[in-house]
Amino acid sequence: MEFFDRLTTRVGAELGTSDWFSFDQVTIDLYAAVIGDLDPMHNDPDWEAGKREWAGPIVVGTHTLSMLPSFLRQYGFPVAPGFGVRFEAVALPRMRFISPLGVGEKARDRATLVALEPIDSGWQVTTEHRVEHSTPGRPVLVAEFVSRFTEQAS
Amino acid sequence: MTTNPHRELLQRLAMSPDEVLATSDWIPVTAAEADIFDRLTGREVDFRSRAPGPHRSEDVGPFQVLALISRFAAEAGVPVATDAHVTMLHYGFDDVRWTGAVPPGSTIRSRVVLAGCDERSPGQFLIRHCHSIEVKGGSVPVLEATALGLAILL
Repeated sequence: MEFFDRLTTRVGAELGTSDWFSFDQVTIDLYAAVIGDLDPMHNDPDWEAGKREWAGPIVVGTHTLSMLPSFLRQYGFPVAPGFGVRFEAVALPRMRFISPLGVGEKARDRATLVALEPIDSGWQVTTEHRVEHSTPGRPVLVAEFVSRFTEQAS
Repeated sequence: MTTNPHRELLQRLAMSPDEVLATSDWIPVTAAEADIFDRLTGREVDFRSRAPGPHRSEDVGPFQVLALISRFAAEAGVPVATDAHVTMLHYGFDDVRWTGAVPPGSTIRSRVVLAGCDERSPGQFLIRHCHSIEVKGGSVPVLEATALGLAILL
């Protein structure tokens, strides 16, 4: 838990940015199939191209949202197995999908540490995430995420 | 001038705040689906430590449970699918709280309540639906969330 002791001085500070990522059509199709939400807007490469605000299919919003734990891992949080720490998602008080992410389009997360509170055998962490496109403009999504890290019983 | 076929449903929903829309069917969440979801979203679980086969010790990822809300909403009659007359956008979530684990192989369902449907501007409806997701055999919900959808009539 030394990581969290060091983090106490960084409340209010930006944690950094994640690696750039993108989703191809096969990945998007698999995701939609797993959550039972196939939709031409996400899964038909020829869907309404050029007829609406954006051309071609877009990534399912919850797919990008579900990357939040992976972003935390990139900032050094012990999310992955092997640290002897249990990671739990606790809450998303507020999150908004702001602008669509196209297939193959690059995006990355930018996160700020909002709060860090000691709890029984661990820490509760509140982070603010802003997933941004590789081109300037409105973000893909913004989210406040509350998670917990507690010592795992051996 | 023709009437958009979705307008009548949206106007009816606007007149019915706090209506219990439905309790969805039970749906299984298999270990195989959980594995695929984890791989698609960069969630690190210890794939190597477990024996080959359908068993997995890790709970279903919290964001996978959240992502199933669109499927539950569709079952409850909330308009979520885009077609030639409407663009349906997932607008976000409020007050998401994960309160319990979903073991792989469980069956889950959601009780869906319409929290509101407001015409924010001509032809644009913001739909808010609350979900309480439970595991079969459990006594308390494992996830509570309010989902927001934006219907844009064409």
